[in-house]
Amino acid sequence: MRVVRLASLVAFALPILIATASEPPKKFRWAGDPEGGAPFVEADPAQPDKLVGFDVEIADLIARGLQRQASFINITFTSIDQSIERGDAEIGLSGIEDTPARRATMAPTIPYYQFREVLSVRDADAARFRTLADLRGRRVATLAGTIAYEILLRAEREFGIQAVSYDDDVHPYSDLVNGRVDAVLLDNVLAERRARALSGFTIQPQSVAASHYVGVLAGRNAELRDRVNDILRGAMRDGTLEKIFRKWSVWNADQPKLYARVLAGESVPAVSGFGATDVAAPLSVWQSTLRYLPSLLEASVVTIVLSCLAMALAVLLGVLIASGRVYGSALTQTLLTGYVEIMRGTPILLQLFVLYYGIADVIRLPAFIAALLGLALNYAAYESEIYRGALQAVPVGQLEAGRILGLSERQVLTLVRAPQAFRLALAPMTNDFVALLKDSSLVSVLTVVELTKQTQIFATNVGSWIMPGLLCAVLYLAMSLPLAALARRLEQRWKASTA
Amino acid sequence: MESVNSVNNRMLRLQEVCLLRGQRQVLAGATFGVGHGELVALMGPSGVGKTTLLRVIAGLETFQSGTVHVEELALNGGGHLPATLKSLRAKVGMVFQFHHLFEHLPVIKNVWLAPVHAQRLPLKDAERRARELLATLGVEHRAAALPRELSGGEAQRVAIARALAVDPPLLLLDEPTASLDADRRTELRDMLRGLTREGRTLVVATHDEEFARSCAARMLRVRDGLVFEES
Repeated sequence: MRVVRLASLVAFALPILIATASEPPKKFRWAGDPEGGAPFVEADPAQPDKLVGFDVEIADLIARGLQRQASFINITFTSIDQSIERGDAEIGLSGIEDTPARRATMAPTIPYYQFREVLSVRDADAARFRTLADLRGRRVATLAGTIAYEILLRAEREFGIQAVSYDDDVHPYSDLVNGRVDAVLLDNVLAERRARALSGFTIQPQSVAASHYVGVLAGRNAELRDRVNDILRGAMRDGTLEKIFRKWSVWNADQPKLYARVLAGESVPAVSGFGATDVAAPLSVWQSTLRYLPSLLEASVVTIVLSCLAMALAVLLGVLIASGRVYGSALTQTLLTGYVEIMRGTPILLQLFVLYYGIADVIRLPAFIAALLGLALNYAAYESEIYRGALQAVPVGQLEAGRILGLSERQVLTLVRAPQAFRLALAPMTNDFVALLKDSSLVSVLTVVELTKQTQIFATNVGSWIMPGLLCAVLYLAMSLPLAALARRLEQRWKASTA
Repeated sequence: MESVNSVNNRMLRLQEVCLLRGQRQVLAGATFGVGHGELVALMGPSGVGKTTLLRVIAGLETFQSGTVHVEELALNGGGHLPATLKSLRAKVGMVFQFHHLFEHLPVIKNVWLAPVHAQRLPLKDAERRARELLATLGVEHRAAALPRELSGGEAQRVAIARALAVDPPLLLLDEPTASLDADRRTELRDMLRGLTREGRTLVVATHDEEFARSCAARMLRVRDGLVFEES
């Protein structure tokens, strides 16, 4: 009987034991941006499906401490906070800066690495551009939505420099060497990394400000954050963090001092040095809105000016291409068809990159001009198709009536065909203009700060998309609705004359 | 190859004009002549080639072989040089069956557009002449109207005014009675007779036998791609 009971117990318990033993550890989801590259997070050059970097090792360290398995989620750097807040991952680790706004709105970990904001200048300028104060009237580049960007905004007001924001940390340095900008302000880890791959610039020894890297968790996850902090403190004590940073060649004398203060329970300010006051006090939503509104309005002007100029050029080129395709020789028609198909068949983002970075060795276009040309050349292809269709839709009888009256072919085109075609093309043209207004946000990859880019900077700095997104939408609508209304009025007026 | 040849003193002369459209022989050696100041009607049912003949004379359509002479200017089969067409436009005007008024322009501008841009007349003179023509044709009160606002008869008269504005010695009219009632047809007949009295030569393509007989000095019948004189 006892044997039967034991057998029953084993039969009942065994599957549970097997299941428990074979159940994989719960996943610890962490977010990062491999585009940031080494030494933070990057795809292993030898094994591209594997990630390496000190943040990868810190994520593993934390996951082990939590007895879980690290699972990576790829999130764009500027969206990590929002992604964490909405629960896509539990922690963000990708060289994330310790800012007062993060401390106020989220649950950041204790700082685990101290960095310095350093100025890089071309070798030839090393003696004359030592500090931000030396750069009056000069273009100084940095990464959008960072402490360095806030510092540059203050330097704009104080020293009259011109802040230029980039979406990545590679092109600021290549543009510095190319002469498009005069200095770059970024943290020493990024600066030293670029200095290893690119020559021609000098990192000034004097640091502008200092801050730290932290892990960022959602405000509601304070309990998990405290457990993570314990793990990080343990790693500071037992030298695990030092080992990781030494492996990635970024260990320096600042770190033991930081660890001593953190382990002693001292309060460590998020930012110290120039501009610290600008990023020190977390602002309320209304204060932030008031602070960012002028720059949003300024960015709206950039958007509308860029869109209007690009559309005007696109219309002009579109008319020429359409005329060439309708009236040109077979060779002209073939070449223009090729142009239209290439421009329509490749992403506008690629075209912008080629214009700004790809041909920089041959011709160094200023960012605004490259953006204007990129948008205009792309939209000209679409416009030309609209005009070609509209030209061909004008009845042949209208053209013959012009010819029989003795008008030349050019006069038939300008006095009869084009005015009628323009009326047919107006509605799709308006559509395209509204689309271009929105596509103009793509030019932020060329350092042009237009409305969407400025909104992104705003959102990153306040840690929320609600108010920035709302303001951005209102400003876009304020630009596009009057335009649509004007187009409707013109359409109705001209439609009445041809219906 | 086209050339300016001196031919006889006729305003218009077609010799053995052949036109093939795809597999279809539209004109198969059309031959006829029209004297200065004559009003000639081209008769025949719809689809027989009357419009094609007018388009060939106006240089709007090329033909394979034969010759068209408008006074001393010769059009040969195969295609026309721009210079030849330019000379032809000064001699030949045409009123289309469906008028083809410029839809985006008001009536008055439809009439003065070509005198100003093709003949380089001062705008003031061209506009005055346009108003005179519209008044003669009884549609001056429609000067500011757009083509879509005109009745069929009004559009017809505006189209004639537009053709006359460039003062062509030879005027071709394609089915001019198509959109007119009986009263308007009588008015049109009187107007065409008036134009011949001014010395203008008119070729009118119509399938309206009664109208043709009432106004034309001579009637030509189009059949099987050929043109026959009708007694």
